[in-house]
Amino acid sequence: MKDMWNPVLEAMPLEDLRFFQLTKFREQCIYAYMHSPFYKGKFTEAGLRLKDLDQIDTLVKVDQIPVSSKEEYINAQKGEKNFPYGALLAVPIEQISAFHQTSGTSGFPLRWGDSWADWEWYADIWATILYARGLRNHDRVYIAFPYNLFMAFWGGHYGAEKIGAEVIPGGTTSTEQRIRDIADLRCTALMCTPSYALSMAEAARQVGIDLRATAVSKIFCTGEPGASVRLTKKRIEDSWNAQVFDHAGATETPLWSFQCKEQQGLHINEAHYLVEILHPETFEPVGEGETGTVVATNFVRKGMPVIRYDLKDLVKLSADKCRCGRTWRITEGGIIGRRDELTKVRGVLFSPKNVDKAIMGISELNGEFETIITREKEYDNVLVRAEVFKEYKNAKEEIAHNLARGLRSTTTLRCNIEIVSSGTLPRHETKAKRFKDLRGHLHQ
Amino acid sequence: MNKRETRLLRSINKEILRLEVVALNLKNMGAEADLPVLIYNANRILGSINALKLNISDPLRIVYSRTAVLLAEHKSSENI
Repeated sequence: MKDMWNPVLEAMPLEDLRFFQLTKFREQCIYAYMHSPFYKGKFTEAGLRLKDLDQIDTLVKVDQIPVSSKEEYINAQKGEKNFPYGALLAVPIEQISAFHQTSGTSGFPLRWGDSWADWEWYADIWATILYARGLRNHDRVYIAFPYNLFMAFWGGHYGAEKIGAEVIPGGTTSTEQRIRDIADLRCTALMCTPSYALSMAEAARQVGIDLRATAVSKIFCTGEPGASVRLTKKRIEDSWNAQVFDHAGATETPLWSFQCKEQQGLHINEAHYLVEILHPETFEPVGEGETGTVVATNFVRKGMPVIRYDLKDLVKLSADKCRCGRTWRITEGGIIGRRDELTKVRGVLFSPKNVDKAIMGISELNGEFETIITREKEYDNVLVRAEVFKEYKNAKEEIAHNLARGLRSTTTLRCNIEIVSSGTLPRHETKAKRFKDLRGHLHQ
Repeated sequence: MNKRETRLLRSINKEILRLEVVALNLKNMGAEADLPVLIYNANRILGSINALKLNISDPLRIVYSRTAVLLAEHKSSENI
């Protein structure tokens, strides 16, 4: 089985795989009931006893387990007991060896602790996806990541090491220096966010380095949806002359889906997760071709178990089977939006991802932008501020006109446009924050 | 998975479980001899062994036991 880290799991016949998943789901629920104060309380509140958990033997019965949310997790961490993990901690605290946290954009960050065994698993699933994309021990991979509290590419570092690839940690090096290092060291692969891949491309143009001439042939992106947005992906690939790969995950559920070499969609990581795709309002399962929200259960992590966790990501399940030979299902077009980012503007459903599509359709824009929604006198205003490449700075009016037309097509809304010079907007090495809804309590 | 592959996997699994016993023994001996170097290195090895168990032992345990149950059911239905 070519490009499979572990064909035992990746090519497992579908019927066996479903049985495997249900068994692992049941075992993890029982583990959580016995070790996690949070889940013991949640299951008890739902009227579930240990013997009920032991009887989950069909996918229909999975529905008996209540869905958990990030808000619940954050609330469970308040207080002094087992600080800073609170009631989510399911192992003695001395077994925790890795600390990370989420960005805390919703007010409080979620603190995450992994045991050494959990951390080894994390490296292993990274190795699984990197191997699926052709990374091997002769590769030299550059990680353009500041190695901070965000989990992001930490696993990429250890996963690549596990495969035997040579890892170059970008750390806090400047963008220009990173570009020079990538070229000088003849790196063959790169890990970064899609927006940072574009930022690097722009910086390289400014200092006269041709990224297309470097040895980089593979770029592994995450953190933002761009690598599955057709025009963004194409722009990165054209700038670097390399194949771009996308994957989706969160601190709570890393790498629950990923793109293999065939790039037919994003595979669901079925060996380590039970991923349910449910109707965004009714939470009933949706079929192939329909858009649903992702609820994921991790089978492995023991430090802080995650069961039926509402990720709020929206995906569309594909009916296709991937040519790679994996039996794992695939989704079309990566994360197509987030439930908590979908908002009504002037009565129309608005997704920030549609701004991304319009921006990438205009070649004079460098890909850096922000969207700000405000409300004045009961009227919603959408302001899109976008950066232009230096050589087009005198054509701002015409570009604004084209962007307005593009946005009208992708969002159906009339938006205000501000074309700004290159370097005006803040740059992000991790998840870019490009969407601000400032309507406050009026926000419906 | 054919018979030969299953047999091979079972042999691999046996070795993984043997390795786990050895690593656990080392960790315990490290505690007894007050040797942090042994305790913590053995712990790291156990982390890697856990990854192997997740990849090999668990699918074998779960899917193989299912095959055994299905075979038993098939046999009992034949007896009826």
